[in-house]
Amino acid sequence: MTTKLISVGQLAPDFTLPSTGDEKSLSLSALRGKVVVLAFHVLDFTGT
Amino acid sequence: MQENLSRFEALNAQVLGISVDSVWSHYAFADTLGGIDFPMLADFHPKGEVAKQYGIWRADKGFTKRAVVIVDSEGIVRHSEIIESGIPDIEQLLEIVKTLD
Repeated sequence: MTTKLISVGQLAPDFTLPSTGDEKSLSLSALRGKVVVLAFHVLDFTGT
Repeated sequence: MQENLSRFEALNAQVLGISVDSVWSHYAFADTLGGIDFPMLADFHPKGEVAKQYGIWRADKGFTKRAVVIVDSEGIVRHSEIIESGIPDIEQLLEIVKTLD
């Protein structure tokens, strides 16, 4: 499968994922109306 | 990100951390960093499902690349970059968010 970074102008794929904090899970679509900064890191504890 | 969180929040932006680690790992990790005040999401099961959709999954390694994706209030991607080394340019990200606010 291709691993091309998502492009500017595309609709961001929606997701619902388990989350830290009180919410327990978060959906991207639930954040419409806000700018969302998605910071992907490689692995916990590795400094990456 | 944590040090600059309030600056993003002042622009009505939501910062989300995400990796293929579990929520339990995120909690333990956040503890070692002295606490993280933004949600950390677990792209854990099925592993890397979201990363695959965003094009940053590394099938050979079983984890993701480092990347920052900024999504506007309509759900459209307005910025995407792979972070090859070092930390993201926070000032640049803030500038982008500012233009979208």
